[in-house]
Amino acid sequence: MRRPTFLCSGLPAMLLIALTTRAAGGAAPFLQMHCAGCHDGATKAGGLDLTALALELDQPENFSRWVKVHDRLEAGEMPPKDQPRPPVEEANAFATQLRQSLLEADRRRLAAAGRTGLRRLTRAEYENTVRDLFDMPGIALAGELPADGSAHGFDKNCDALDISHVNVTKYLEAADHTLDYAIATRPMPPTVHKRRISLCNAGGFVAHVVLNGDGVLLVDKKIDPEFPPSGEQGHIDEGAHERMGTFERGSSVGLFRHEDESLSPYFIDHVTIYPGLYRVRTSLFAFQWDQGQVLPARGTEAARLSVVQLTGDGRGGQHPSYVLGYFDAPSLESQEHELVTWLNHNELIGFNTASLAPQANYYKKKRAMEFTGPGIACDWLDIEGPLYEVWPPVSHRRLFGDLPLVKFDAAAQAGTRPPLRKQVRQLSGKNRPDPDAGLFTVQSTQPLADADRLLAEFLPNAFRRPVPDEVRADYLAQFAARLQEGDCFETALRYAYRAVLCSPEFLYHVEPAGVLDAPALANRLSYFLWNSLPDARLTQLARSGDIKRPDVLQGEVERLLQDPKSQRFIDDFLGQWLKLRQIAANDPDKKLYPEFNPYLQDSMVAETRAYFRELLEKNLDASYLVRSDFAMLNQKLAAHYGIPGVVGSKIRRVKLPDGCPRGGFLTQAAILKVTANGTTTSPVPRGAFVMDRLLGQPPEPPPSNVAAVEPDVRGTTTIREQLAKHRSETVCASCHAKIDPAGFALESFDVIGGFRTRYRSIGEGLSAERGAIDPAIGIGFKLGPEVDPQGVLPDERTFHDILEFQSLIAAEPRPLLKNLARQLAVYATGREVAFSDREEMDAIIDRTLAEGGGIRTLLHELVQSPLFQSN
Amino acid sequence: MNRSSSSRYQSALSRRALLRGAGVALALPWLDAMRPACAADSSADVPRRLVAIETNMGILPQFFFPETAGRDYTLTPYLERLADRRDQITVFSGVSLPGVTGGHAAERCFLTGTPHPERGGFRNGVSLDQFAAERIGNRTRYPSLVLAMTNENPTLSYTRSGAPIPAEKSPKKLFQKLFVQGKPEEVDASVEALRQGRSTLDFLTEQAKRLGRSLGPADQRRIDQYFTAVRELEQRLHSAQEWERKPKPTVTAAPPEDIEDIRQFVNKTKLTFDVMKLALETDSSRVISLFIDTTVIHNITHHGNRPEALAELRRHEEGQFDVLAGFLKSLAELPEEGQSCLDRTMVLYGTCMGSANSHSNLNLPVLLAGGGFKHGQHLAFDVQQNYPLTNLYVSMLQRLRIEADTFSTGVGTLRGLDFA
Repeated sequence: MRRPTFLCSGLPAMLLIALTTRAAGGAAPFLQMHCAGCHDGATKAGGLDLTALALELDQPENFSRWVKVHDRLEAGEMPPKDQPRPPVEEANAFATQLRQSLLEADRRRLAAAGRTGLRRLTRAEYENTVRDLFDMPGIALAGELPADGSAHGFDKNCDALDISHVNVTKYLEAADHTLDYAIATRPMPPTVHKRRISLCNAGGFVAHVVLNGDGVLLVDKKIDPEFPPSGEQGHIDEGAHERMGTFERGSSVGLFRHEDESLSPYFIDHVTIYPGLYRVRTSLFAFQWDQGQVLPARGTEAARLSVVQLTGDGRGGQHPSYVLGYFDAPSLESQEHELVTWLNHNELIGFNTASLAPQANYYKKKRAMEFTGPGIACDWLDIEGPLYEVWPPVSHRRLFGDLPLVKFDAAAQAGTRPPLRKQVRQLSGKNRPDPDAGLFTVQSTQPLADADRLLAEFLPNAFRRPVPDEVRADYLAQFAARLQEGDCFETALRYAYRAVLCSPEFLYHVEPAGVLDAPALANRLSYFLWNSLPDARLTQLARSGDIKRPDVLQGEVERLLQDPKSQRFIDDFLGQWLKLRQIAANDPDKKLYPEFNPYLQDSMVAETRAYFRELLEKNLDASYLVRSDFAMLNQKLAAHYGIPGVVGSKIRRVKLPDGCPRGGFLTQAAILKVTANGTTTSPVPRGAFVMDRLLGQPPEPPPSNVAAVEPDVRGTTTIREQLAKHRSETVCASCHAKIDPAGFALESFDVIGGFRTRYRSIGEGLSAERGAIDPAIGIGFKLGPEVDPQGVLPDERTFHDILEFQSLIAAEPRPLLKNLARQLAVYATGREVAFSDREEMDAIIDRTLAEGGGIRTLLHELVQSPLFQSN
Repeated sequence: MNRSSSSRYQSALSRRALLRGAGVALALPWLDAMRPACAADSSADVPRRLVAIETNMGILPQFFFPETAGRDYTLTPYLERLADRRDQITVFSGVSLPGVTGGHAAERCFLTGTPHPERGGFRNGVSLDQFAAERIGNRTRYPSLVLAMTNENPTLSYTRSGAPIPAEKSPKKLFQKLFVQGKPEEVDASVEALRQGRSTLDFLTEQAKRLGRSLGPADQRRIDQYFTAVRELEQRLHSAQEWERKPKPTVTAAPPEDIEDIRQFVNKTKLTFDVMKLALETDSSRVISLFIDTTVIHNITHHGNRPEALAELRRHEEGQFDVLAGFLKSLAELPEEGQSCLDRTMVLYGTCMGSANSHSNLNLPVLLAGGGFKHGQHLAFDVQQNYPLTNLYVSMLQRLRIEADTFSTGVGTLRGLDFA
C-alpha cells in the first residue's frame, strides 16, 4: 500500500500525531483506546479495520471512509451504547480535529478539480433548449439522443455526462432535423384546415364497431338506425360490409373495449403533414349499454387522448408517444373539451376508454346485442391547424430575420446550387398537402452583411452569453466558404447554424470558475426551474447585471415558478429524486393486481407531481413530505385509496378524513409502485428508498456475497418471516435495523399502493372480496397471511402501524428538509454536496426554518446562497 | 486440418522452439509437415469473429446448468435444444462478473464487467465488442454491428468513455444497411455529405481548442473528451467515405419484414439471427453485439415459484434456445477455407441474472460456442465463490489475436478453456 503523504497535505500537527496510526508504529491513542477493540485486523467490525486504515485524504475512497468515521462519532453512534465510551470532551475534540483535516482536504480537492465541472446539456435540457430557442414547443429530439448517465442521483452531474462520437453523430442528426423543421420553404403558411373526425371512419375499426360489437354507433344518444348494433351472427348488417372502406357516417361512437394489441382507436383522418400547433376539441359522454339499450351511466367516466406516431408501415405503434390528458365523460350529457398541442410529422390523435375495465375481445365479451356493460362515447373530434401567429414562423425568423422568401430562379442564379428539400411521406390520413408552390428560399442582396447580422443575433441566444466578435467571425467564415463553393444563401447559412448547434458552447454549460457572472447565474437559474435557456427578460437581466441583485433574483424565482415551463423542473426533478422515471419499470402481475391499468399509473404520477407543486405554491413545511391532511387526487386515485366523493379525472386538492395515512410522498401510490417489483414488496428496497431519498441517509450497499431473499407468492410465508432469518445474522443486523423499519411500516401497502391487511396470494389463502375492483374484472387471487406493519426505529422508539410511523418521522422535520435541500442543490448546481459544503447547507436550513420552514422558502434560500451562485 | 486450426501463437511458438532445438538440416521435413499452419499464418488475415449475446431477464438455472462437470455431463432441458452442437459448445457454471450487482442494473454491464452499476456516480466502461472493434474493426465495412431485439432502447455496447451506442432494432433496416446498394447519385450525395460533415467536424475541433484555452485544467480534460469524440467521428466518416465507393455485397436472401409485436420475441430473435448470419457470411463485420430484451416476460420472471408461471417461462426460454440452435447450425453449415464459419466465430450467449426471481447477479448461465476453442465440456466453478466471467473475455480477445492480458475485472485467461 502507498505510504501516506502527510507532509505535503498540510494537516495540523496535533492531528498528525493523533491519526498517524501506522506511521507511529501503533494505533493513535484515541482510536487505539476507544475504537480498535472492535475495528482491528482481527474483528474488523462493520468491515472496518482502523489499525490498517491509512490517512490518505487525497484518495476519494479513503476520504469517504474517514467521513463515515467522523459522522458516526459526531452522531454519537460510535462507540456503541453497550461499550465503554470516551469522555464527551475527548470525543468532541477528536471529531473536531478530524473535521478540520477533512475540510482542508476537501477544499484542496475542490480547488484543484473545480466544483461544477464543465457539463453538457442533458437530453431533456437539449430538447427544451431547442424548443425554446426556435419556438417549436413540441419538436421531439430527446428520444433520438443516447441516454445520459446518472451521478449522485441525477443526470445533471458532469460525471454522468460523457460524450463520444455517438453523441456527436446524434447531435449532427438532431441539428439537421431541427433546421428542417425551423426553416420556412413556402411563401404562405399552409392552409388551415378544420376537420371533424369520427372515431369510426376507416377500414378495420369500422369492422370492430359495426361487425364485432366492440362498440356501437349512436345518434342523439340512441342507436343509429342505419347501422344497428351487431347481433348474434358473425356476419350481419347487409351493406355495412360493402361500405367499410369509405365509411363516413359521422355518428357518435360508443366503445366498450380498451385499446389493446388488436384494437387501435385512432382519429385516423388527420395524419400531420405540417408540424406545428393544432387546436383539438372533442365531445364525450358515458352510458350504460344493456343489450341494445342506452341507459344512464354508473357515473362520470374518463377517456384518454394521446398522440400516436405512425410507424413506417402506417400501422402505428402499440403505445402512444405521449398522453395528452384524461377527459371527463359525464352520464348521457356530452361535455366538450379543448386543447392546443404541437404535432410532428405523421402524428395523429389516439383515443382510449381509460376508466373502463379492460374487456377481452368480442369472443369473450360477445356481440353488442348480447353485451351489458359501461361504455364511453365520443361524438366527434375537431382538429384545426396548423396555427401560426406569423409567417414565416418564429423559428424561421430566428435564423433568417425578415429576409424575403422568393422563388429560386435557377436561370438568374446560374452556378448556384438550389436549396435541398427533404420529402416526408405522409403515411395515412385524409388530409392532403397544399399544392406545391415551387422552390422558395430566402433572398439576400448583401449575403455577407446579412449573415453577419443574423449570426450576431443568433449566437448569443444559442450560447446563452455574449459572444466575442472573433468567434462570430469564425462562423461567418464557415458561411462564406459554402457560399464560395456555390451553395445558395439558405444552404450556406444553414451550414453555419448546424455547426452552432453542435459546437461546444451550445452543447455545454460554459461557466466561469468561482463566483458566477451574471449570464452564468441567469443560466443556472433557468436550467434549474425551466430545464432550458433563459427567456428574453432573464437574458436582459443578465446583460444589465441586475440578476445579481438579491431582490431581482428573488422576483425571478417567483416568475419562473409561476410560468408553465416550471412543470419541466417538477417532472425532471421528481423523475430522478423520487424515481418517477421508473414508474413503468414493471407491470404489476395481472393475476395478483387485475385492477391495475395505465389510467391508474398516469394518475399516480400526476398525484406526486401535483403534490410537489402544491407544497411549493402553499410553501408548506417538510413534515408534509411524509404526512399530510390533504391529498392531490382524481376519481381514479380516490377510489384506489378508498376516499369517497371525488368525481372526475382532473387532479384536485382533497381534504383527508382523520386517520387516513395518505397525502405525503411516503404513502403515494407512485412511490409505493417504484419501490416494488410488480409482484411482491420487500421492506428492504422500500426502507432503503425512504432512507436514501427522504431522510438523506443512504444505506450501505449489501455485501455482494450474501444471497438475496427469493420472493414467494404461494401464500405460505411472508417476506417478514423470510427476512427475520436474514436479520438475525450479526453482519446484516446493524444495517437492517436502520433500513427495515420504514419498509415494515409500508408493508401495509401493496405493489400498486393499495392499502392491505393481508398479502394477496396465488396459492393458498382465503377468498378475496371485490372491494372497489370493477365488477367486470375477474378476481383470481386469494388473501394470504396477515401483514405485520410494526417496527422499532434505530433509536428504539416503536410504532404499530403506518400512522404512528408517520408521526415519529414528521416530528423531526429537519432531516427531511435537509435532505430535500441536498437533492435540490445537487439537481440545481450539477455537483455533489461536498463535505465542505455542510456548513453552508446548515445555514440554508437555519435560515429556512427561521422563516417558517416552507419549501418555497428553501428554494429561495438555496438560490440566494453562495452554494448556488458559485462554482 | 487440425493443424491449421491451431492458434497462431501456438504454431509460431512450436516453430521457434523447433528452430532453437534442432539443426537446420533436420528442420526441413518438419517444416514441410507444418506447411498448412504456416500458410494460414502467412495469409495475413484469417478472419476471427466475435458475436456476443445477452438476454436480459435471466435464464431459469434449473433447466440450464448440468449437474456434473466435465465432458460427460448429462444434457439439461435447455442444453438438449443445442444437442447437435454439443462438441462446439462449452457450458459454464459458477461464473459471474465480479462486483456487478444491482439486479436489472447489471444488464448494461454484461460486456463491460464494470462493477456496481446500481450506485450513484456509476460510469460504464468499454464493452468487449467495442474493445475488439477498435483493434480489428477497420478490416470490414462496419467495424462492429450493435443490435438489439427490443422495442425499447437498450444496448450491450459502450464506447471507451462509457457512452452507450444505440442499437439497430430492425432486421429490415439492418439488411438494407448491409446489402442494398444506393443509386450512383445517392452515393455521390452521400460522399459529399460525408465530406461536408468532416469539414464541420474540423471546424468544431478548432472551436473546442479555442474554448479549451480559457478553461481550468479539470474542464480542459472534459473539453478534451468532446474534442476526441469529434475527432473519432471525423475518422469514422473518413473511413465511411472510402467504403461508400466500394460496392456492397449481394445476397440471394430476401429482405426480412419486421415483426412489431414484441410478444413474438422468439420469432423476432430468429429474424435478427438470420441477418446476422448474412453479415458474417459476407464479412460485412466481424464483431456483433446483440441485446435480447425480453422485458415483455418480466412479470413471469418474478415467478414466485408458481408452477404455471414457471411452465410458461420455460416454454419461452426453450423457444429462445431453439432459435439459437438454428443460428449456430447455420454458421456450422457455412464452409470457410476447409473449416466452418462457426469454427472461426465465437458466439457468447448468456444473461446478467442468475435468478431473475431474486434479482441475483451471481451464478450466471453462460455458454460459448465455436470460434476455435476446445469445446464439448461443462466447466464448473465454485457456486459459492464465483469465478470471474471477465477472464473468459480475456481468452476471447486473445483468440481474436488481440494482445490483451487483462480486460475489465479479468486478469487472465479462463482456466480450463484452451485454443483448439
